Amino acid sequence: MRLAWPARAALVVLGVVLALALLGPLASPWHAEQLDWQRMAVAPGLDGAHWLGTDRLGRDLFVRSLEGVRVSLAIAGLATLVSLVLGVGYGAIAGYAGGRVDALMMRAVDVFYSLPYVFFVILLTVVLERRPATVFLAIGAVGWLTMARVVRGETRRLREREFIEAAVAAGVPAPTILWRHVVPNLAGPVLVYATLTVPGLILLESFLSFLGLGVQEPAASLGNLLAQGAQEMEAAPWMLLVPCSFLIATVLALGFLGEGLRDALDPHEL
Amino acid sequence: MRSIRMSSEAPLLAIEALAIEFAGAAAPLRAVDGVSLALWPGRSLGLVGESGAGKSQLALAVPGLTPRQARLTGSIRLAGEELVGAAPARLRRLRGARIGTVFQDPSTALAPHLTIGTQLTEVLAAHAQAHGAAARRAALAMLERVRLPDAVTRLGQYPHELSGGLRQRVMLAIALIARPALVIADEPTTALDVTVEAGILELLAELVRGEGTALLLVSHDLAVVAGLCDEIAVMYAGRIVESGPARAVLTAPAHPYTAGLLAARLTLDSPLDVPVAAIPGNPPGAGPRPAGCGFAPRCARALERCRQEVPLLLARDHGQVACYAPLAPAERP
Amino acid sequence: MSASPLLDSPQPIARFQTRLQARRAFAAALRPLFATPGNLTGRAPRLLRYALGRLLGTVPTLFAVITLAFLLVRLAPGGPFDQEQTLAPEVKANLDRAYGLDRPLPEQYLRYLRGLAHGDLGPSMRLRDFTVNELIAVGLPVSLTLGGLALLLAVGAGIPLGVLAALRRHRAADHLLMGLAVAGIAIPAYVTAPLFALWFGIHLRWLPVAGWEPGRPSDLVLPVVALALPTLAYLVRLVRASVLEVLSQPHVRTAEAKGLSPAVILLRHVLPPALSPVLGYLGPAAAAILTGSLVVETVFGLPGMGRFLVQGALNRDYTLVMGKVIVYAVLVIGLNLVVDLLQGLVDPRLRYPRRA
Repeated sequence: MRLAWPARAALVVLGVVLALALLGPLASPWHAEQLDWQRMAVAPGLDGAHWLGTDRLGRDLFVRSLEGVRVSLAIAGLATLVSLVLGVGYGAIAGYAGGRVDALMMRAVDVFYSLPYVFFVILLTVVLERRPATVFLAIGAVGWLTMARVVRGETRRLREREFIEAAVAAGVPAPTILWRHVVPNLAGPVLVYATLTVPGLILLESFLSFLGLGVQEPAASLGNLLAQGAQEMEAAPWMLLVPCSFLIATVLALGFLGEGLRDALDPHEL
Repeated sequence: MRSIRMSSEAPLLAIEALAIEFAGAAAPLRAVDGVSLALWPGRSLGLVGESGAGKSQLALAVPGLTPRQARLTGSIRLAGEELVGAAPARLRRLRGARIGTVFQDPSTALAPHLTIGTQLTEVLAAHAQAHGAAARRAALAMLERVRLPDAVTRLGQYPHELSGGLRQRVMLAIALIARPALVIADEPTTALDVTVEAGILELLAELVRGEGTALLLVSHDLAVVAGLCDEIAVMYAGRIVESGPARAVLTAPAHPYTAGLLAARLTLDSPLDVPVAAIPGNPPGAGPRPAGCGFAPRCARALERCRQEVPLLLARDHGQVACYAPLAPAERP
Repeated sequence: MSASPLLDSPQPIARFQTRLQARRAFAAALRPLFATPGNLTGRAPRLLRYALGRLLGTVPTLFAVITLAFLLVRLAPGGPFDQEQTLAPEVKANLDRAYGLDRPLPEQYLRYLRGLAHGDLGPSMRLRDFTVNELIAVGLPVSLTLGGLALLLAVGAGIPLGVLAALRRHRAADHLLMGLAVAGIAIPAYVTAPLFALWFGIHLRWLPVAGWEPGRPSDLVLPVVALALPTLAYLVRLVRASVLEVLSQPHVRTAEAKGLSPAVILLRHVLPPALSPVLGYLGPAAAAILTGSLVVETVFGLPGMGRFLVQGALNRDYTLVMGKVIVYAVLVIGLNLVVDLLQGLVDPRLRYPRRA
């Protein structure tokens, strides 16, 4: 598989962001929740080794942003995993069963789709209390709908293929066909869609944190850093720009990687 | 037998030293490698070869339909006009009007969202031949010429409402409605059921003969070409290895590859206990091609020279052959 | 006694007639893009029957949505009057009784449905003295105006730019547009909206930062742009991918082989099938945009209904949440229906069963 150059560049950027997120905080003398009483709201510079400045409580933005990247990526990654398992399972069963079962299952998805997704997420965070674990559960519980649709469409296409018909004709039981013949062939589109889901979920997480429903202070996530930064942007624009740059770099890289994977795996593309 | 080459008329289509290259990972890939051929008005030429021989690329180069990244060198002349390097707008005016094209799979080659009527009349409108009601009448007449049952209803129908065979009749109608001088048919029956194949071929023959249209037919199937064409050109690895009058090539092939293709055919009276004489080895892939004759690696008659020098296409008997060790008349099947 | 005012004054009828004429002219202008004349009218009854069938099919969906939303809202712990600690237990009990919250849940549900059948969304439980109908009557027009303009901007710019990127594939314009599009998707509205306010409103003083006065269009510029950006960016990408997909299909090569002009190939052969998946995305996206954005409306101080959902959910203002959910669901379902019908118009295979 050959990736186009934007996707390869995205992989490099993603690698750098990940390496920074994991190793960067070790290089700084500060840690994420430590307050520097002498240097509150200082601009990026060498002063006190706050390379990217501090927030209004004197916490180091370099360390906090990287902590935020880690938390946001972990939440989005886990949520994608949840939506992947739910979506692939649901979609493959509906698509493989076809007929009434399919129609009914997809009608249920339509019902969920007709509710504003923020509605679910807010209710779930309210019901489950506000902890990072519940945040990713809530996000994943919403993300699987589209995945289910993608997988179902793909399964219906596979269903028509000869090798599936051959397996049916040979009397292989349906669960075995699903697991052994259908699911492995879904890997391509699912991988592509999952790569494209992660940035969307990072944005959703940050939106929730922005509303105060996501990751709670003093823990950092890109969302709550952005929310604080947005309040201070007139006086201290770096508080917004620093986490925003990390968010954009991560989301951009994931977006281009997903596009590249789609192009590389899509037989229509030359 | 009338020899075509003695015709005093100028050829309608004259291709000379045409090469089509695609940028490859290491070296450019030559899909078509120095091909020359000529086609006279009202005559038909069959291009035969295995898939990957470059025959479709060659045929689609005439109306300028090769993929954008392809690089063409050499010459393609239609009624004396050079088409290689011609302005896109000029090529566009020739396509549809002077050159009709029939594609392989009518289930994907017809626009799914447009009615049969629209797909026919838009050809006439594009070349300012007819508009509105006149175009509709012409479309109806054309559908009747391709013997589409219930033609009036069909005008308002969509491709998915027709069977594969009927769709290919529509495809023929689209290619011929503007009365082109040349029709390119790229594997016109490959995607169809065997039961409708004969009908389509018969219709194609009738349409081109009735109008004095020249036909360039691409097929991997010798039987298709045999029934339809005056002349045959056999392609292998981007080059023509043998050409000549259809009967001569089919009954007395001089190139070992042509002979192999003929021997690999199955007919109803083939003895059941004798295995089919498949040509050993595989057709050349997309990679770099060997020096010398492209067929040499699979050829039982190959000489040392065959692996080093490309044999030229030279006149022999009724046609032309590119081989250092051609079959003698006595050896031919 | 005089006849109805509609029949009395010739004006509305004249207006209706000009509108009808305009619509006919529009349809006539579009027709050559899709089909030969005659067959559209010939197929109208089948299309109508199909549309009615789909419309009936939405009723159970809407019912299921309402039921599910009702259950979810009530399952969340707490109630509308919990947060007011000053309330004496007797007062709270009185309030519960006044709003019917002391009844068993099934009864409350039936009551709610009965109100709904009469178009009554009930009283707001936190914003006393207001009914949800009143709140929506104030908020919805604001959100609809804002969202409608944003949608117009997103579609009007997103589709042409996406087509442009596809046609200039792998060239500078394509890379530039894709870069901007990915950035547009990546930067959330709660970042762009304040940045816009800061730069154009405070720094350059070109446009008002916030506020809403009917008839002052300059109020709308910044929020509309902020609201439109993510959708616009996504549309550019979607349209590009979709156009490229269609361009690679054999029927486009047939169109080329016919000698059609590039404009006809694009408008008649490529765009209609390419816009089908775009429509599929636009249905739900439009519903989300039209029912108001919490972030944009808060940043620019607009009295839309964007905040109803979050505020209502946090305050357990059951009826307010339900009101917004129902408005949203009706929009989603209605727009999906419209999209389905439009897709059927573009792709006849979706309209009738395939002939064997």
